[in-house]
Parts: sequence; C-alpha cells; structure tokens
Amino acid sequence: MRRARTWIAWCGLVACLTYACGEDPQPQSVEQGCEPPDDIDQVEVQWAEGFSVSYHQDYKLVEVHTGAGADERYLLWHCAQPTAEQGITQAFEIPVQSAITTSTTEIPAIVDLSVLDRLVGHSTLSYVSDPRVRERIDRGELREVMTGGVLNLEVMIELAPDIVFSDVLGDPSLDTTGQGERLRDAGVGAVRVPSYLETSPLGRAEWIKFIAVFFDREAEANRIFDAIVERYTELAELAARATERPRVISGSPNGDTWRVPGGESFAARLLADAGADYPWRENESTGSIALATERVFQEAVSSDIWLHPWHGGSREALIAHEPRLETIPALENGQVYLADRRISEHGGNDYWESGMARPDLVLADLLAIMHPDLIEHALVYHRRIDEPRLPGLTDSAVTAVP
Amino acid sequence: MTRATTTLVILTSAVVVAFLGSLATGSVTVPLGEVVTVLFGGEASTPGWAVIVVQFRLPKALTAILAGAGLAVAGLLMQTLFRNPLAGPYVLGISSGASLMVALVVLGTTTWGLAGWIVGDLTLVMAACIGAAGVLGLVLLASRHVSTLSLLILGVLFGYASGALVTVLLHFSIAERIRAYLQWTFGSFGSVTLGQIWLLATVVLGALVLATLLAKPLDGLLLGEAEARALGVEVGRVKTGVLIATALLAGSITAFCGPIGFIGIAVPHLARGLLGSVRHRLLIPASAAAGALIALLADLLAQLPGHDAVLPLNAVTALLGAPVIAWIVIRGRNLGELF
Repeated sequence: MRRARTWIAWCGLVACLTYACGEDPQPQSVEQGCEPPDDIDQVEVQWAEGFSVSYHQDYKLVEVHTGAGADERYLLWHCAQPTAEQGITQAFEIPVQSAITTSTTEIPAIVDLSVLDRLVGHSTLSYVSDPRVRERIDRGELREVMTGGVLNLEVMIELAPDIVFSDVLGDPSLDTTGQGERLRDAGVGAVRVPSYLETSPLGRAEWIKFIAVFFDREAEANRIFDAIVERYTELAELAARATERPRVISGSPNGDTWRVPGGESFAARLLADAGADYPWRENESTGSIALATERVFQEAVSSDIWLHPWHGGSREALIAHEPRLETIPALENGQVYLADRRISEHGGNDYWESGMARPDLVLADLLAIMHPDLIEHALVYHRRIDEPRLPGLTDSAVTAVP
Repeated sequence: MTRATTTLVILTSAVVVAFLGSLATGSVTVPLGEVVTVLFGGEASTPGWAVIVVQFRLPKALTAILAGAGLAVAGLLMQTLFRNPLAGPYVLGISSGASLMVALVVLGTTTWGLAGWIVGDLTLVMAACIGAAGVLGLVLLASRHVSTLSLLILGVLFGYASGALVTVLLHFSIAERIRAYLQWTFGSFGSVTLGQIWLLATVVLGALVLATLLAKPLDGLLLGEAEARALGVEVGRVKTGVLIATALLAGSITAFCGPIGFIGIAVPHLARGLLGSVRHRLLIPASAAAGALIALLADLLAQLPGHDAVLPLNAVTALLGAPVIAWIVIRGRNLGELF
C-alpha cells in the first residue's frame, strides 16, 4: 500500500516535470495588450568582430560570427514572434527575465546593466569576485550549474532560465557532447558568447552590448562602453607620447618551452597600446606561441619589465620553479608584475572578471608600470612581485562603472 | 678490432660529437667560437649567451646522455629478466607510480595558493620519486612471492589502475592544470639545472655500475631460470639486483625528465643488431652509448635548430625509435631467437 502511494507520488512528480519542460516558453500568438517598447536605443558594434546586431520593424537580429562553421543567428522579439527570417538558431522573447552565465567575463555586464536580479545561476560560484553577486550567492539565490568541470544540464533545465550565456555551449570544438543542442531541445535558450576570441581589448569589452540587447538595455550599454572607449583612447594617446619604450617579456618557462603571447593577441595589443616594446609584436599569432626557453631567455636578459610569470606568486616561488630565472635583470630589479592583486577570498581572480570588462583600468595599470612618469595611478589588478597580495576583496567601488 | 669493439668505439665517438653539437645548436644562434670560450669560463660578447650555453644547454645535454643511457640499460635489463622483446623500463609500473603522484600534485591540489608555485618545480621531482619508490617497494615485496611472469602482469595491471585514477583527476581539473600535467608527460631534458644534475648523475651511474656487475649472471638468465640455476647463478639475488637497478634508473629519470617513451624498448634491439651479440658485457655499454646518442639526437631534433619553437620530446623519440625497430625487424633478424 505504502509502496503504491510512493509510486503514485513519483508518477505525479514525473508528469509535472514533463509538463513543465515540455511547455513552450515562447507563445506564438500576440499577447493580449502587449505593446512593443518604442524608441529603444540601438547599439552599433565598432570594435568587436565576433557579433553584429541589426534592428528591424518588429524584431532584432543578433549574429555571432564564430570564425569557423556557420554563424549563429538569434531572433529577438517583443509580443509576437515574426516568421520573416530564415535560418534562425533560436528565437527569444525579450527582455529575457532569467539568465545563467558560465564565464566570469559575463558577470560585469550583468551587474553593470542592472539586471543582476535576473541571474539565477553561474558555472562555478567560487570564481565570482563581484561583491554584489557574492551577496546573492551568500543568500543562496544563485545555483551552481557546473560539477566536475562539466556543465550540469539537469540543474540548468530545472532552473529553466530564458537564456544561458556561454563561451562553450554550441561551439562544435568545445561542446563535444552537444550540450547546447540538448539545452535548446529542452526549451532553454543557449547563446554563444565567444568574447575570449576578440583580440582587441575594447572589442572584448564591447560584448556588454551583446548581452544588453537581450535585456533591452542598449542605452546603458552605450553609455558604459562609450565612457570606457574614451578613457582607453586617452590613455593610449598618452602612451603614444612616450619617447622611450621599455622592453617587456611575458610568461614563464616549463622546461624547454616558454609560452608567450602572439603578436596579434589580446595581451600584445594591450602592451602595444601601453607603449611597450614587445619582442614578438611582429608575430602573427592571435593566441600564445610556444618558444624555446633559451630563445625567450635571450630577450629576457635585455628586458626592463617582466609581466605575468605563470609559475609562482612570489620571487621565492618563481626561483624555486626555475632557478635559472634568478639572473634575469627585471627580477633582480623587482620589475616583475603579476595580475593577481584582486584575488577574492574564494579564490576567483577579478582580473578575469571585471578586468576583461574594464580595459581602460588594465591599460592604466600597464601604463603606470611602463611609464610611471606619464600617469599617476594606483595599480588596480597588478602588483609587483615583492608586494603582498590583497587579503580578499572589499572594494567593489574601485571597478564600478560610472 | 672485433666487430663489437668497433661498434663501441663508433658509438662512443658519435655520442661525443652529438654532445658537442647539442651545446652548439639551439633556437639562439651562438657561434662555435663563443661556445668554446664560454665553456672554458670566458666572457661571451652578448649578454645571455654564457647563461644559455652553461646553464641551459650543458645540463640539458648531460641529462640527455644520462637519461638515454639509463633508460636503454633499464630496458635491456627488463627484456632479459622477462625474456620478452617488448619489455621496457616502465613495465614494472614505475613510471605509472611516478605519473600518478605527479598527477595528484598537479591536478589534485585545489587552492589557488598552491597552484601558483607547485607546478614544474622540484616538488614534481619529489612527487615522482615517491611514486617510483613506492612501486619499487611493492615490486620487491611481490618478487619474493610470485613468479617473474606474474610480476610483469602485476606491473601492467598497476599501469591500468593508476591510469584510471589519473583520468578521474584529469576529469575534475581545470584547463591550466591539465595542460601542466600534459606538458610533464611530453618529457623534457631541459628542466634539470646544473645544481640538480649531480643527484641524477649519482643515481644513474650507480645503477649502471650495478647493472655491469650483473652482466655475467644475466647471460645465464637468457637461457631461462632453471638453466641459469643449473649453471650456478643465484637467480633470486640477481633478480633483486636487476629490479633495484631498473627502479633506480626509471624512477630517477622519470622524476627529472617525465616519462620518456620508446628509448628503453627500442635501443636494446638496436644494440643487439649492431653488435650481433647477446652478451651483456658488451650489450650494456653498447645500449648505454646508443641510448645516449638517440637521446641527444632526439633532443637536437626537438629543438629544431634555427627555429624559435620546440617539439615535445616524446613525439621525437617515438618518431625516431619506430623506424629503428622496423628496420631491425625487416632486416630479417628473428627477435625470438635472442631470448
């Protein structure tokens, strides 16, 4: 008898879940009394190469250019879904009311566009630095949607957000098990945010506009991004005036191999804009390049500044990792800088969160490191290797946008 | 001169030439004259060259010689002990033990503070040593109770089990750690510094001396354990000696260079083919010299002289080693006859 009752309860639960999942989240007919908002601001993509937005009579069309394979096309509509466009990856009724993010680089846009209340989940919560998001995490309002390095589809489907922003889902080379497709089949919106492919720092930050169009927050995105561009450009112009360019090396060796940023990479662009002399600026790679350790070492002996060694958060640790680095002049002179000033008490590095949204602050850091005579600026994300790391984060004001 | 003496002289000379070539070439072009000046304590005309030659190339070339010789002899010992042409220095599970400990260190630590410094430094050497020594202890313990063949099977089984644990660790790791672990498995002679090389040299040379002392009874073992006993070989003691020598060689080399593949399996066959003899008094020095030579050549190729990049060492040793074995097999020598 008891077993039968349990069975009935189970069947009921399964039926409810099936109903909830199967329900189409996108009503096909015009909603009663729905008025599309008039004069929404429009965004215009200037720096980013990975996406474009076009505005039509009663919908927006967002395209993600993936470089390889077909572009993704998202149709965003108010009130009624138009049928005019062909080849749509997925359609969204906007503004979306609930969202999941899977990369810390998407967090700043959510916060700055004032839609944090619509965030319901994130991949790995411990990586998140922003104190306003952490407050929600502490109150138990955000679910962790990644377990063991893999996105947990069941949790995401249970949360049933309108949209999942992801740098992995739907990318044929990264999402090898087709999770993006299965999420879409389950009625959850999954959009690709391959902002990490952008090689220009402003281009990477411009993805705030991509996220904004799903929330009808174009006006805020334009205001925030324009201010960032203005400050970034001012700083780059300041750096261009420098008469001497310090020679800079980057990374650290692992045995025979020393990986450094390619000449067309994000990091190399920042170095160029900060007025640095980077030995591999002519290289054409947009990622990192694996060089022979002795090749980089030869450059290192005549370099002034050494950025971002990966092995070791202190002088002692770096030398313990590779004793032969001790003779590099930049290390002897204490001119080694790490991008880990802002590590949260949970272990997340804010450089990979707000830093990616605030290229102006990152550039200001680099400018202050390369040309301390040109700018007065207290380092935000960087610290000299001999300085102690900050004990946790408390100052969200430092990176808050105006 | 006999064929064996000629072979040994040629191999040794080739090692010397390859050693000098290794010092003189690399991604950075340092003129030969400057290399010689720097090696004899002189000043180089360009800053950095002295450090590159003395602190990077010299320990790397010496490590290649030690590792190549050690792995080849360890492979030879295992092939003789197990009378199996496919045995190598790692059949006892020693590199699996080392890999498992390294994986635990690289992939198993979760806090940021550790992640920063732990990868790639002496910590890895210590982890690999502990892993290798742990397996050595188990092997010695087991060797008293089970047959030689069972030991081989146990070693292979341990390899699968530790491989499974590493897979689990990889699965739960972040990309940077996975890359660091993979980098270690690619193998490298370049991580050993001048300050560390004496340790590797002491262990490897000690184990090579031990192997040489066992040369005569090893010849007996080739006939089978029962026949060896009949010839008066103390099989139990020889077995223990062989296991200790192999574990020291495989353990120390894996600790400092990562799991270097192929040399241990391929080089003993090369040495037998060149010598035309299976006598260990000749095979041990010939394998050591040929191993050192192949390691130096593999490293030279991996460095891609005149190019900025380097290739993973293990890829080069396998690409170099596979044709060597193929050549010997195709030449019609029946490997089975040698065992």
